[in-house]
Amino acid sequence: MALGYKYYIPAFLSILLVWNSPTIGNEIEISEKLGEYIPNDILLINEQGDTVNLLEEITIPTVISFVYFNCPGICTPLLNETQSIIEKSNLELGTDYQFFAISFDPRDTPALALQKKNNYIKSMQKKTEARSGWKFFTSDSLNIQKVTSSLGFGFKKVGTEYIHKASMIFVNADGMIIRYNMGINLLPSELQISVIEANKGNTLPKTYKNDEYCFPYVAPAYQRLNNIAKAFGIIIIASALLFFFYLIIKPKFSKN
Amino acid sequence: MNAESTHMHEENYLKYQGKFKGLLGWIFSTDHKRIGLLYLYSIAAFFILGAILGLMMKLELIAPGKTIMEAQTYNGIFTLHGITMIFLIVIPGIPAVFGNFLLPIMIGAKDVAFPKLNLASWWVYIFGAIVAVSSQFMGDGPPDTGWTFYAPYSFKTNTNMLPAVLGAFILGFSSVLTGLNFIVTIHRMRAPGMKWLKMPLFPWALYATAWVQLLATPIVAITLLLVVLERTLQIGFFDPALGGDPVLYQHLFWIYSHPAVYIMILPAMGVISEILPTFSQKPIFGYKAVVFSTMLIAFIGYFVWGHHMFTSGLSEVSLVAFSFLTFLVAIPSAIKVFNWVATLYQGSIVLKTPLIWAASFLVVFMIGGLTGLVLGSLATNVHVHDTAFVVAHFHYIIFGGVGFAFFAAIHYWFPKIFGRMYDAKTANTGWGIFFIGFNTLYFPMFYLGIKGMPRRYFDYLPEFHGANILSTFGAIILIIGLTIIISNLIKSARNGEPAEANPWNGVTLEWKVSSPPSLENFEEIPTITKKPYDFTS
Repeated sequence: MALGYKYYIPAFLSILLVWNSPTIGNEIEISEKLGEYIPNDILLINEQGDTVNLLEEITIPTVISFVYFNCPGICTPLLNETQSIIEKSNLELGTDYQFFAISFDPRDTPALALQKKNNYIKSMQKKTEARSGWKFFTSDSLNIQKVTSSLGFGFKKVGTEYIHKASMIFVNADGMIIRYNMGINLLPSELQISVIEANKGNTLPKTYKNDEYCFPYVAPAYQRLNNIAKAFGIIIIASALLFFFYLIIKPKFSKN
Repeated sequence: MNAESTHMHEENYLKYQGKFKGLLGWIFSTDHKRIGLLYLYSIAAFFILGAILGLMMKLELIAPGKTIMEAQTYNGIFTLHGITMIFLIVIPGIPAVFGNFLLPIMIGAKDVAFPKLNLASWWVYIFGAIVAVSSQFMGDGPPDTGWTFYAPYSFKTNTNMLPAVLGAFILGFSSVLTGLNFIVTIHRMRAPGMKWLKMPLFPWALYATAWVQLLATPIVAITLLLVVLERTLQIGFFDPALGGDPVLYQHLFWIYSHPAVYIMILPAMGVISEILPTFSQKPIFGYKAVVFSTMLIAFIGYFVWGHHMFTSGLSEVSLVAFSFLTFLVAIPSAIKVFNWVATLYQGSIVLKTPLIWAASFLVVFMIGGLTGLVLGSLATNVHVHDTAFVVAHFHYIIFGGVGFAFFAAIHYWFPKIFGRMYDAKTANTGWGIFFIGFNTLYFPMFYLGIKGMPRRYFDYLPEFHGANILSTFGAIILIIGLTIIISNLIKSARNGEPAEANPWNGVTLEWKVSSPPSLENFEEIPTITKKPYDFTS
């Protein structure tokens, strides 16, 4: 028996539904590498434009966040949170611990990094501490690959933006990974405990606030609907053009 | 226009008896003039409903806190006010009433190309209107989303959304069918000798509008259908929970609804372009520039929708592009305004009611247009987005633009349509009160918006009280003016002095036929030799 008309639209839409549904694999996961060491061949560029070795920069317990400076999503909240922890904490930044913001977008420049940093420092109480203890790095794609994979940080480029999670990764003065803090929130007491444990050389279980993602929201329906919109758009415009040319070309109706 | 003067021996369309008599003779008539009047009466009825709802909103806002209704009732009322005013009145408005009545006459035709389709459009309109308005009285309470039906709220709210959305969907068909009819009529049925550039400007405006109706309306129709499918079948299009994208809804909605603003305003501009030459007794200044700007507005209008979404998180490039395009569309609008003013310059001005309406249209439209630049500009938009400023701007353009032009049109063509004159003194008094009420009602809202009063709330902070009292006071004056105007027209349609064929000394074709026109408009189709608006005869 032939299906009735009423099934046509749902059937048509279900086909579009499965068509082009994007998949986000586990390439954006953060895999814990507790106890592992940062390799000593990772070269980053600091805000002044000098090339430095990451491992050599880590002389005290360090909190590393991966961000990119043109990020429209979660990177700014993450950096804002970093700023507020620095202000709230009793520990002395630059002496007891330090923060690194490493860009994973090779398009970011040291100038942009400096601009971003200055922007934060402008509104801070602990200006001097932050100037020396909160460092912004950029790098080329090869070194970005090395540093992110050594710390287990996954990200994926979509269009001109990235899909990624927010986290703070703690390493001790020797470059050993000791803790993952997922999400953007960190309490000053958690920072303090992590620094103490880092000094002892212990690793800590990861703290879960939230799995917070940053991604340009390309909803599955967007592609689905895009297809519908494209199809209907073409049909509408083509029929309009045909109609227009028909009116122009065919002789006028008789007046009676 | 050198049309042969046609003397009518036939009965006029108001008296003509066809197959049916009485009411049936109207609702089943395929005569474009009767259909025009059917639209006029239905639109007038809905307008009274919309105006009462508007007044209720203003009464609620006369004092902070709850005054005459609950928050939820207020939400329902501003939604119905919007749906009624936009979908039932302003969008069909001038094309459906005056376009239907006058287009065939102005281009020298006996009717539109598809008279039965024309009647069907009216029936579809009535059906859509009933469905839309029924949402208020059935199911789980009136919809509360505003006329934009923004996702994801429009499928999360438990109110009676489906009829409202379906109603708007059905009304879209009426719009498409009318547009199609007008396009074919204009292409195929112009009188011999009426080349494109000899066509009057009101038909030109209807032509541009018809293309917008035809091309843009299907988009919102499909979008609204998707909302229906999402609500009923749980297929994700706009709801993030189902994998949809709410911002996409805004795109699709505004891809139609911004061009829809031109469906509203272009015919209004066409009306003004007819009235000014007649009452200055001189040709329109820059005929070709006005034609060109009409088509340009219709075209650019498709590409500016993003300016409704400046705060929705579009990329910077899109924002700048949409802002630029928005400014671009101001150029043809300004061309028109300059041409209108230049038409008046050194004209033999006869200050009659239609010209008073048309001139005040220029004033309010300018205020609306210039405040539109504040909204079109990215930086200032962010500050006044979703405030009373937007409401004020919108009403200056839509009510001030389309509304004033509608009243100008009805006062201009009233003698032609009903074959009777109205009482000019009462009409002018009505205009004066209306004009004062209009500005007292909406101007304070610019101030309120700049001061930060958000729109669509039944309540506000005490600091906004003064301006709100003034605004409500304006609403009451406006309603008084409206009552005078409408009652004068109703009275005059029944008992006014009989009108001559050409009471304003107009030169376009409708003034060459009797008032009211005969059933087939022309005894003999005229041949056009001169340009429109040629007053040398």
